[in-house]
Amino acid sequence: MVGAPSCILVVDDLDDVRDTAVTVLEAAGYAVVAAGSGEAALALLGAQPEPHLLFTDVVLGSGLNGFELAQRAVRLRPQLKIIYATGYAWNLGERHEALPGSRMLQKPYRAVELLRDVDALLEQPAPAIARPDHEAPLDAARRPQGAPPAVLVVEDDRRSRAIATELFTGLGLAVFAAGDGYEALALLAKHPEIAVLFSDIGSPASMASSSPKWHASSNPICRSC
Amino acid sequence: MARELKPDLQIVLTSAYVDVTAVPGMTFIAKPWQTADFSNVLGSIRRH
Repeated sequence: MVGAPSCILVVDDLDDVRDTAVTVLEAAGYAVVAAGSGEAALALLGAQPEPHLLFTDVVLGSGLNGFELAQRAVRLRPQLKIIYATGYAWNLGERHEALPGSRMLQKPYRAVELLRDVDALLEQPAPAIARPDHEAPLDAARRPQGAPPAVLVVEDDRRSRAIATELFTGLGLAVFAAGDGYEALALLAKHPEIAVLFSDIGSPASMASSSPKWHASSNPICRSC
Repeated sequence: MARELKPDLQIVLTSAYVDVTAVPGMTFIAKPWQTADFSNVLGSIRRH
């Protein structure tokens, strides 16, 4: 590798498996960041160095699964390349959840297989990821100077998120959308043009939960409200 | 944490279950939303 090494984001809820992948990739000269859940991985995507490739297990415990993580991750970083790892024989319909241009590595994999896929994918041009229109944030970099401020809509209900996005867009505002607080924080860190946070504060059921979802009592953005 | 990242961030909260209109420095819109609610938010943004 010439210049700064490519950065790999490794996500696995099993510490041993995650540590092994990190060790292999670091030994090969890659910069590596790691997370034990999809939610933690999304928070890391807003950090530096910018990950170039996401290597994620498909099954990640009780939170986001690897497919869901990748779909959210490419909304934050459209150039991100994806390798899924799985110990299961996914059927064709489930495999369709994998993003275009991604790879699937079958567990148990050998170090040489992991490095082969990482090397090959990093050498390929970034895939064109199709994003659902109602969730795609407007690219602020393409907005002309003097454009209106951007709004960040944070809403875990997909339909409500789409409605809010459509209404703000109809008012001429640039809109970013996030499904949870971690994703929202990553967008805030990446897009200083966001001037307004429009956020659902959750249902009573979610407030009673201890899971790291988006709600008033434990969300990472709005602890005091 | 959002305000730590961006101290001048305007915050608009919404909920179908609770009312937090008393939280200083934040705007609250109850669900179900009305189109006028969003227009009001836009007006607030432009006055800011």
